[in-house]
Amino acid sequence: MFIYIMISVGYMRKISRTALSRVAVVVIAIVVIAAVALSAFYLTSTVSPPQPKRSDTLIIGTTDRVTQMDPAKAYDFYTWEVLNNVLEGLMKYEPGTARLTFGLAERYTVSSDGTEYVFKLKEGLKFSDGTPLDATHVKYQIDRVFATQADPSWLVTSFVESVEVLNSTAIKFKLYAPTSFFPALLATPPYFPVNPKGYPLDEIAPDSTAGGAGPYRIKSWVRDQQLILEANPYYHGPPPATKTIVIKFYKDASSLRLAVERGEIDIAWRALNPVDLEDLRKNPKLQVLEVPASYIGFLVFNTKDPPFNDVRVRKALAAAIDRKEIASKAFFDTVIPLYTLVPSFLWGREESFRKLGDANIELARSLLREAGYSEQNKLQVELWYTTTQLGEPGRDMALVIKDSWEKTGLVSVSLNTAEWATYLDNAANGIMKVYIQTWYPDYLDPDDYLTPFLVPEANSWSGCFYDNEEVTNLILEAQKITDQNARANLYKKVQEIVAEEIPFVPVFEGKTIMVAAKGVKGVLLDATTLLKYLTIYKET
Amino acid sequence: MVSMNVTRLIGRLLPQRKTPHYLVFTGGLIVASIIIMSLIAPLLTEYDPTIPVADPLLPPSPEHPLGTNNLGYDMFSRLLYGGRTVLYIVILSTLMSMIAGVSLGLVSGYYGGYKDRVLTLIMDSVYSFPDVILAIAISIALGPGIYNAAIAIAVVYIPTYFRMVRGQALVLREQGYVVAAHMLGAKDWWIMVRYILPNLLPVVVVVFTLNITDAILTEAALSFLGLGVVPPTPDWGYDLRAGQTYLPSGYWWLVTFPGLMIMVLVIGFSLIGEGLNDILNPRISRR
Amino acid sequence: MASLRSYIVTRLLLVIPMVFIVLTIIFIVLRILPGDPVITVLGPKSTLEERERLREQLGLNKPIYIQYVEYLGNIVRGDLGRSLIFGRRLVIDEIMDRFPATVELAVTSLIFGAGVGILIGSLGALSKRKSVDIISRLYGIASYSFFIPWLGLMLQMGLSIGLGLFPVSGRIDPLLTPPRITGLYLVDSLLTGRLDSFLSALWHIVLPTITLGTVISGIFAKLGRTSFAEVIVQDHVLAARARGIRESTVFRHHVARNAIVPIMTMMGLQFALLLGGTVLTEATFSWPGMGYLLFERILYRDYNVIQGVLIIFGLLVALINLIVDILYAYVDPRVRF
Repeated sequence: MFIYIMISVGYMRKISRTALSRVAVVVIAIVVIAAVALSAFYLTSTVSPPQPKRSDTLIIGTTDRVTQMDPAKAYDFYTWEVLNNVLEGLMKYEPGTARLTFGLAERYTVSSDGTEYVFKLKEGLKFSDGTPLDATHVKYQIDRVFATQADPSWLVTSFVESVEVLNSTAIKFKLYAPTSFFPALLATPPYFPVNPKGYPLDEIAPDSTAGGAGPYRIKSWVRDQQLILEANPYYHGPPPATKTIVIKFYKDASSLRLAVERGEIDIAWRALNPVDLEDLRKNPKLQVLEVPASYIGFLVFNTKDPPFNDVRVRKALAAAIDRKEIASKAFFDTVIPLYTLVPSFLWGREESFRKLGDANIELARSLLREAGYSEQNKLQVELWYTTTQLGEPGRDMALVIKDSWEKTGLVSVSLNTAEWATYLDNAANGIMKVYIQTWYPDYLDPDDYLTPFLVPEANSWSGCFYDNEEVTNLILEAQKITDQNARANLYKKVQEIVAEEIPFVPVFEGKTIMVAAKGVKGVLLDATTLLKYLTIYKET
Repeated sequence: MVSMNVTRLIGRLLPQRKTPHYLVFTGGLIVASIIIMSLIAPLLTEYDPTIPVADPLLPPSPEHPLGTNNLGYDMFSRLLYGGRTVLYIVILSTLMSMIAGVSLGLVSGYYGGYKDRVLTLIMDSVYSFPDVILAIAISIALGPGIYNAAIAIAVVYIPTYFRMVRGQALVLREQGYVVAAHMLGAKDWWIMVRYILPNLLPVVVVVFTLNITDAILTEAALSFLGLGVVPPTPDWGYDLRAGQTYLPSGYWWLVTFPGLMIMVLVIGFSLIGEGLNDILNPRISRR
Repeated sequence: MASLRSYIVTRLLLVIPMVFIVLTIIFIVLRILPGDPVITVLGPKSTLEERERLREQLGLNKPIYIQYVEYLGNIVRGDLGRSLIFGRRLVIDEIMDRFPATVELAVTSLIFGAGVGILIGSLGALSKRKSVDIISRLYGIASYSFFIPWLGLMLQMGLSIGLGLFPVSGRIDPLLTPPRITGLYLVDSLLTGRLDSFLSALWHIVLPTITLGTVISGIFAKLGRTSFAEVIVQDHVLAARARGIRESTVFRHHVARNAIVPIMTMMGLQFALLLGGTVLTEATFSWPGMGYLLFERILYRDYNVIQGVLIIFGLLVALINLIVDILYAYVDPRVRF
């Protein structure tokens, strides 16, 4: 750039010394002609304003990766997202909601004892290469899952006893026990039928691009580099809004940020650094879309061992925490303060931790003094954190918490960390007396935020050793009844008790965040964090 | 040629108007000022490096000469106190590897035999392995923390001392005065400590100053990869890593200064080592 | 020539125990790791039975000496096991995906570092002005003192984020990836005649190469300086000068040729340093090589992959040292004893 300016300045000097007048005439002439041409162009173009045109191609950048392109094997968020776009199951989630709807199936019936489901497939279904898809293909995939026994196979094998093809469009699932959420299971990839041409019966096909019957099919895939999807012409539903989706795999968040800033990609999707979002929000060419996500962050206390076997100490530390400070300083507001274990997109919540307040140093101090601590005899706390799930904000969160606890003047905090395996080990064994943890649910129901935390055995992973018979009974009772209001009342009662006994301190709930160019429309985000490409388009 | 006693060693180190002495002097000045800066840190800054003291991400100003980070920590005080952490780990680890390497090398070279061959083979294998990578592996096994980092670094550099000392000991044990002492009935350990060790001193000093530069870089690497100290302990490698995330947003002061300090400290020790090497001139190649 | 052959045989025999020791050290270091890899794989929600089943499957429930024997046996068979995460791919596949990236970076950095270093070093030795010599010497010290991630970040700050001249990280624009032949993008893109891919790969490799190359150039500068200084006063050089042969010819035939031998050796000996440097460079630039793989999997305690990468690094170093020693013996007969 500098060189360019230097050269042009030098060039102009040379000209001025030789023949300024002649050059000036030529320059003026060019300017006049250009002005006339431009104004003519401007006039004609204002006569017919340009219609917003939809681009044929949409480029998505991500730092995630596709692990194994096989629904019998894949068990991670991002691969599930891709599989949800190139395959389709009997059931699916409506984009933008966490509501189940029919996919390849038209309807289903349940036997009176709740163990037999008969699904009726839509007529005339085809795979993305045009070959017909019928009930035998649905069974084929179930057989593959049984034959390969890979990571997510439990989603099938723990529930399904046998599968029977009744006719070309009807299939019967026989279950071990009544399972009211079985239709939701059918919306997970292990159940998605795949094209037998690319997926052998008893073998995982990690690099297969044969696909299934989803809205898109795979045009090309270079592992960790690019994935190109094109609209599946044989798709049974409405055609996707954009013909071609190009996914570029970036190695880190910085590259992803620069790519979306420079317009090399239309959408930056999972995961930018929180600090980068601050800048990107100010960028007039970009839009930042965010919705609550399903994961939560919280503190766990070992309620069996001192000093946290004293509920006053737990309550003091819970009151001293400053959630807003954590959200803004450690996460740059990419998370939202959370005052109960059940996140805000769900029902049956009771924000029971609100009454302890945020940064409630006074309450913390009086509780700690009551428990026998003083300036001379400080409470010694070792707070554990991990960066495996939350990255560096996880560490900064620990630092912010340390600071707010030490503000009481009665606590002395040291931090510690461990690798993921050790961390989980230490947690389950109760070695870490207080630590930071995150929770990603398996199904979107308040139950999945209460049972695994509060019911003994189910909460053994946490090392909180919490066991309250009343709470356990309330939760188990709620599992049996179907009336949502009645369940909500029971759950609210549970959450009240949790805020009194404090085995856990809810701290934040996550957000799903996307940065897209201004022209990108039709994005439907939801708490599942699986993006559906078929509604997205870009106006140019 | 290395049978030089301590007085002559010091004699050679006396100030002279020669390039090597300038190198040692300049290096010494750099190292000394960093050591003093970190020691008198409480006089130079009023801020505690481990708690938030101001608004987050403030640019450098008279109040905060090197700005603040995302949690509002004063980066100038972190820089000063960080020197303490780095020097502590590095000196601790190099002393450990020196003690272990010198004694093993001495014994191995003096006695010889199959034990010597096995030990040499093991040391050569460790030596051939890339130092940073080996330190990473040990550090993963031990977990984070100041002392674990020091141990990981110490293990990696034992062979550096071992190889040098063993080679010299092999030569020295054949020297007349050593053989004579042996014949007069002196005990082996006495010969090693009294007659061989003093003659190794120049070599060990040079290896030490050169090795310390490698140790500083390895310590920084461990912290940078998240394997060294636990926050909020101030540490240059750690601060560099923490600042990397903020680089695309233009917070340049978070990464610039910690890395600069690492480089300046390494240059300081390198100059001393280079100069000493020239002055004492044992044929030493550095790792 | 007989002595050369026997030297090579001895040297080859010596490699076996050395490799064996390195493998043993890796085994010991990684088996004392705290934490249960089984939980990483299955997640905290898994049941005890599931964990036990996987432990059996991975052979982690056997006595440690049997694990050790199996470990050595597997390596001999070329079986490095499977990754514990990311879809449990074969470790050897993961490594082969990344290996060319490391080779590409190491080679360009070595060329850059050796070129710059030898140039500056020889200038120092040959120049008649003392200031040039001192500057060249200080360069040797200063460049070696760079902390690789810091140098990388400074270059990123100035040239990528500031001026936008180079990409901040990565190896190529994902859309321009050339079809895999050798795995070296610079070579593959030329073989397939894809100029755009070649330029993109070249653009991405500039900053990592400068970073790693600068740091290793210090050693070459130092070495170039001493070996040129030694050669230039040797008798045959003086004799050639005395015969009135032109200075450029003297340099080419008598000085450069003799000074280059120790430099070539140094290239081999610095290989370990180079490999250590690639880990840090790759971590800084998210360069998808073996070092980045190591860095990435440390977080997940993916210990089959960590072990595999360490083994490959160990074997590489042993192999390169062997080749250098043999070459050296071939060039310089004095070492064959």
